[in-house]
Amino acid sequence: MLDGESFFSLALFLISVGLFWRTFSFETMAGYEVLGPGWWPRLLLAAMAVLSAGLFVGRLRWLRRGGERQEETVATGRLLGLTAACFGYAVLMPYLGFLVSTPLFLLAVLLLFGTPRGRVLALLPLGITVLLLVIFVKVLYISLPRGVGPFLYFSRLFY
Amino acid sequence: MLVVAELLLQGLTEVLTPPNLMAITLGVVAGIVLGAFPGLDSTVGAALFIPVTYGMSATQALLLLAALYGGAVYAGQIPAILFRIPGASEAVVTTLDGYAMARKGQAGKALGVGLVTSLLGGLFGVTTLILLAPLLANVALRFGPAEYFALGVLGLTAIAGLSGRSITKAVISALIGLLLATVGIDPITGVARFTFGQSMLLSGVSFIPAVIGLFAVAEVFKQASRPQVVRALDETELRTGRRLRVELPSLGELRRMAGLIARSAVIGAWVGILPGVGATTAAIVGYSQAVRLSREPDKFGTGVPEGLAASETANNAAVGGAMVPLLALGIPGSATTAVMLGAFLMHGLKAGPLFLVQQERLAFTLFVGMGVATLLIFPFALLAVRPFVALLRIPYPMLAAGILAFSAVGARAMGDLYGILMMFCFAVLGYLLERYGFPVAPLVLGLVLGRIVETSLRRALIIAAYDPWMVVSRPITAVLLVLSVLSVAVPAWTRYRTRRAAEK
Repeated sequence: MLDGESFFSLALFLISVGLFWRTFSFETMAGYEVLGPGWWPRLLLAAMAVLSAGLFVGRLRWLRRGGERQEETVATGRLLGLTAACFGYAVLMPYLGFLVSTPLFLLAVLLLFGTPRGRVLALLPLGITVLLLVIFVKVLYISLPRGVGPFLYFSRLFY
Repeated sequence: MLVVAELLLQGLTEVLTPPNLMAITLGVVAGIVLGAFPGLDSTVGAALFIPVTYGMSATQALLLLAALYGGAVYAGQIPAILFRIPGASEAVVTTLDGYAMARKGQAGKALGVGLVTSLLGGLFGVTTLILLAPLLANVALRFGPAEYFALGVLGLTAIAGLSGRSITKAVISALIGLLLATVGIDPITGVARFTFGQSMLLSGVSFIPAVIGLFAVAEVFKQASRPQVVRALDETELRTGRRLRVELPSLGELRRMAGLIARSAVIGAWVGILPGVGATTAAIVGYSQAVRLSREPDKFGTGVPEGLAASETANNAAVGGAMVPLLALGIPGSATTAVMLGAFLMHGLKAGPLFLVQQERLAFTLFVGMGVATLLIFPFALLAVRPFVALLRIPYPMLAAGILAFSAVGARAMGDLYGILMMFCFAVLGYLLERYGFPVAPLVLGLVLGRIVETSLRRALIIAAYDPWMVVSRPITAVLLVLSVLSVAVPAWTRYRTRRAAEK
């Protein structure tokens, strides 16, 4: 039975092999037949495949000899929730705009970390959003996404 | 010599005029504030402030930007030490020992060591700029692709010191970094590699979002994965006490690290001079030299002041060094000086050999101004630390929310929205790597040095008609490669002997 570490090593090996294969689809250029665009990545991927295969085999042998798994308990639900919140934030920001997506994202983060409900939950996401807006948009003139449709109109009220 | 002294005195008189002094102060303060924010490094700061300098004289504009550069490179260490967030890419290596010291309850000491060594490194960089610029520029001019390749290899050998428990895992981590550096347009053939049809990947992996993801956001993921979430960093992680003070190192401590500081300063200034390499590489090379020349290399990364001193001295010395090719040759020595080149053009100046001849007075005012800016960092840094320290007592969930939001906007500031997506991808990668015992630092090393190593090696081989011997037998290349081999072999041999002795 594979444990997390052996599974990770196997995944690295498979990715290396897959990407090694991918390098052969790189465009070839006349005059660069020897040291073309795929030469260096192939070198790296070959080394990575050999080393990760070695790690995988070594780990399997160790587990078969009865080695301890040493796997820590993980708060899987919170971790997956946080990952989903982060990627959701990155994907939705162009549509909802910074001003709407950021407090929602921060609210999700606080709930995932178990912040007691109350004023903190209501005010902190808004406070951080306003602070970031002032620093980045009003002081540093860095443009932040305004969103589309009604969100665009809403954002334009502020920046 | 007398002429130089006279020019320096003239420069000092010029610098001490109220408008110029104000420009320097503004530059230092802006640099510290920007440098301490993740994603807003000296390059972004210089780019943001170029329009601000439009209404200023050329002298004030250059003084402000040079001061901002120094301030931002220094300030990157504050969040790196306190939160494991490198405020700027130059502080990536600082997180290794700086944050580890903070976790041991030595945050004040770490900030003190970082401040003093930054000051020493910065002053050495400026001195190098003034006294050795022509000489060092001549040496750097002799560097061809083969020498750059060897320099990159020397930087990569730092993996030996950053390997933790498994050298294989460290090498895999570095290989991932080197591979990630190949993403985008191949600089030699112009062919797209590993872009998978995504236009955002054509320009390659953005370094700042990647580093913020690997270090800052991955740390939040790590805390989130624990069944029991920490309450506040101050209480459970950093143990800084109620009132954290910057503890300056004693003279004895500085004397003990004098050799290391001197070596790191020389390395930093020298690497800074090399065009396109910059303070980040300077910090890495400085740190790796400190590891390999140490009698106790295993202690590096666990929170030793020597590690912090090496990286901070080197990256601050590189600021002065990076100005050498800009002023003497018109070639930027770093990304920030590349942006500063724009300020030269905006004010009708042309950086290069003629600048030192035709604008001699301005050049020396700039030299002295950089020295004054370095000294001014000291009091402003002491003031800047307190607000950051207050953040340590905030409950962790609130801090996590703040870190995620600031990191996301920081990543956005470095490019488009894909920066945020990239940052979160790297956060997941960083979390998984750390979870399964793969050190993250070698990956960053590979990502920074990947382009230099690959393009230099390929160019060198093409020039040498694919004869590897021709590449490695060039004198400077050979010396650097021998140093690389020694820097891996000597610690390995020492470790082997220590183990044998322990077995007996």
